[in-house]
Amino acid sequence: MAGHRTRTQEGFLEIIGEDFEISRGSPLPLGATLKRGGINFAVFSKHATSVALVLFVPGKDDPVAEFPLDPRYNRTGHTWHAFVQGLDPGIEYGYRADRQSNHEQHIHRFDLSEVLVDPYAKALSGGEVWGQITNCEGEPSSAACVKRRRCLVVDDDFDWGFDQPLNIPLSQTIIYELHVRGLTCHQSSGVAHPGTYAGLVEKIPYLKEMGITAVEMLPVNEFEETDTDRINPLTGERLLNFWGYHSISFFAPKASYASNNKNGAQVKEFKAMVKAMHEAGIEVILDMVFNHTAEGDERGHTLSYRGLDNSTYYIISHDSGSYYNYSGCGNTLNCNHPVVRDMILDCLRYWVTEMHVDGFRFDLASILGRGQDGSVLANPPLLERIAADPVLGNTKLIAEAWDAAGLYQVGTFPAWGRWAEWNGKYRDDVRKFVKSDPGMVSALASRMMGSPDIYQGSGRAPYHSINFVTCHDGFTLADLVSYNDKHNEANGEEGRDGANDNLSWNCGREGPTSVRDSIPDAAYSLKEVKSLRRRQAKNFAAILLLSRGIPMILAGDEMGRTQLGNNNAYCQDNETSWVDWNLTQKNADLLRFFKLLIKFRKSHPALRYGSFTQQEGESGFPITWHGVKPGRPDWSWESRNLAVQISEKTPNTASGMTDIYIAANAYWEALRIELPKLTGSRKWLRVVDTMLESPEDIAEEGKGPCLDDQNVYEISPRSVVVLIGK
Amino acid sequence: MEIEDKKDGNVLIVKILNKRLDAQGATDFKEKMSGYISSGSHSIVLNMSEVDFVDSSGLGAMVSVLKLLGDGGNLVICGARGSVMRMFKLTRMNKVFSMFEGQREAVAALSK
Repeated sequence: MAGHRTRTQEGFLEIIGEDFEISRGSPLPLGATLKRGGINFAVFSKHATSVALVLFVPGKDDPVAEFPLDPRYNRTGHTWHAFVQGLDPGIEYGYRADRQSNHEQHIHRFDLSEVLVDPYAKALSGGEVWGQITNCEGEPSSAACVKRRRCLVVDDDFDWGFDQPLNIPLSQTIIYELHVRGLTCHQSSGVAHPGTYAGLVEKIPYLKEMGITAVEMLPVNEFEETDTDRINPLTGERLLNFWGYHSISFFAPKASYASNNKNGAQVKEFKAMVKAMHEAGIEVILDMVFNHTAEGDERGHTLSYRGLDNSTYYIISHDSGSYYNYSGCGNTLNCNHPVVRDMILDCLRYWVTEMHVDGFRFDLASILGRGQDGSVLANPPLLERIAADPVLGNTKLIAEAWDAAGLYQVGTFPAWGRWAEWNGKYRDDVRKFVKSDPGMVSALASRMMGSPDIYQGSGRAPYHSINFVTCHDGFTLADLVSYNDKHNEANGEEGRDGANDNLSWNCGREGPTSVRDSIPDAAYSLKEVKSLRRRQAKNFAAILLLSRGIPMILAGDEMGRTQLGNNNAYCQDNETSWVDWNLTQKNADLLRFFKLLIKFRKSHPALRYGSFTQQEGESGFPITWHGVKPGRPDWSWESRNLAVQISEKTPNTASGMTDIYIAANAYWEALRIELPKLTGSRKWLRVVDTMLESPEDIAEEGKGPCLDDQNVYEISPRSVVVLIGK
Repeated sequence: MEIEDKKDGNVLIVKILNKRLDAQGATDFKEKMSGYISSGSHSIVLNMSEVDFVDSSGLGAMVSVLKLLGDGGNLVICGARGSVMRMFKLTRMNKVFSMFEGQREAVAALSK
């Protein structure tokens, strides 16, 4: 009788078939690819002299097998590969790489003690439980912790039906920037699967009712939220890297954002989320952080790229080996190295073709335009390639057109007429105008027209300007009108982190307006402060949603979400960052205001006009600027008000013409503005007056009152008025 | 692939006569071993004392033979030395296969 087999034997033998065989394999495609009868493994390393494929049985820490790849037989050029027949999806793998006679350990940072993540891994195990803090031995830890990750071979099979990216024209887009976990983690969300892709699906009816056309998600690719050891000094609680701008893998969706993440099921749950969004007519845009990785600097952890081919993946000093740090996060991905370029392209194509994603926002995108020595390239090959890539031809490309080393390219980002940008100038100028800074009227005019001063010169259109007044990075809208200064003590850096220059105004009182804080001789009563804040928030909303260019709303702003003055809540995985859905009731007026503004925007093509070439007086959408007197805008330094009239041809109305009149008054006193005369028998009807209480503040179109006085409107201090002439 | 076989009771002893068990010989080795199995040998000792190089393909072929034997059979190794033994340890195949220094012990283990 045969001798008994051991448990280890069974572990390995269970995952292989009788036809098990290791053969040469193919260098392309990179990654682990399911093929008939087995899996092809391929990984890049130019400087390794040995690479081993390491296999794991799910749930077991130690490898069950390590197969050294033969440098003559299993290598083509700089790509190591093997075909393993008789292996099915469900196994876990990684690589071990080394360089013999490595006299430049500071350049080629191979580390035989680490099993490396495949840069092309489509799913990772090891991070299934959000916030789980363990040390390397799996024990609870108080130190920063990077959990061991293994690559999973997943089956791509998914029933997409007829789904495909929606291809909504950029000009028609309204973006809602959200955090997958933050949106539904709060108990008030009422979802069955809080903090997950599935939870997000449960909120689709809300998103649809708001009227937004795209969700832009903070990073959903694998990162390590426990890689910080900071403590909240106010509560003693452990802080986490909540935002996740610290990628471990660019291809793998974050497992802990999935309600079911067993054996790589996060991939399917992500796909199901995208499919459900598409069914609701909502596009999915991902925030991709290609500028650096979670491996940090010389003191960081070796997880993948560093151990496979450090000098290819990173911009380093070739003398000292130190990492260039244009990202402010320890290292800089060598984005314009041809190998890294290919990886980024392959990754984007994967998200588009396999995951049906509609667009990308590129974090610190200016780094993607730096050369291998860190210099700023005039025509960065990577950005050109992405812009011209045939697979990405309809994919939305949005750049955060700056980096952490002072490069600021808003308006000058190498765009090839394709790239849109987060318009930081829009945010700053609109903030300055609304808080009544002088000299902002002409800037406001440009911002509301899609920033021709910034984008026209490079052959782009208004829709290449992603307009925003708030985003995840900085104050929320409610805080923008409630705080003069950041209040970041809870981040554990003694208030050093976060932007100091917020262009915010607290409306007379710093922070919350509770009766306890009442100061008898303050300049404003609490009631006045509260009402002014609400008005300022609506002023921002109105300007944002009526400007040409693409509006982006930060999730929760529409319901007055506060972070209590924290303008850098990257580490706050708690009520500071989570959306409190009770606010939809408490601030129902603000939510209604946003919804009706979005509806108004959608029903007026003039607000979404996709070209700068339109001149005043031309047919189409003639634009006329006004001041207190019609046709006489006041562009002077002390001026704080501006009105714009946009005319639309509306063939289905009696007059064939509709006029939109938008007046913004940032002056602290009321102004009597003379209204332009309407042609024909048309009358001015009020749509918006932010001075009025809800529901008078905004009317459903056509339901607003006809003005008694068709000649003069008294616009209140610090308010926005929108009229419609039909 | 040169191999030599002999029976010791119920146990089949297979000795590899080549110096290398690598990608070139792996398929041939596997086919020959499959032949033994299909003709009724389910307890096999593989004597590797003549082999001084084995690679992943060679190991893969050995693993597939083990798998082919199923629950009712076994393949054990004897005589692995030097770089071959190091390879077994490196790849963790020393945990998948029962390893013996001498052929007699190996046969004894399978005859239990």
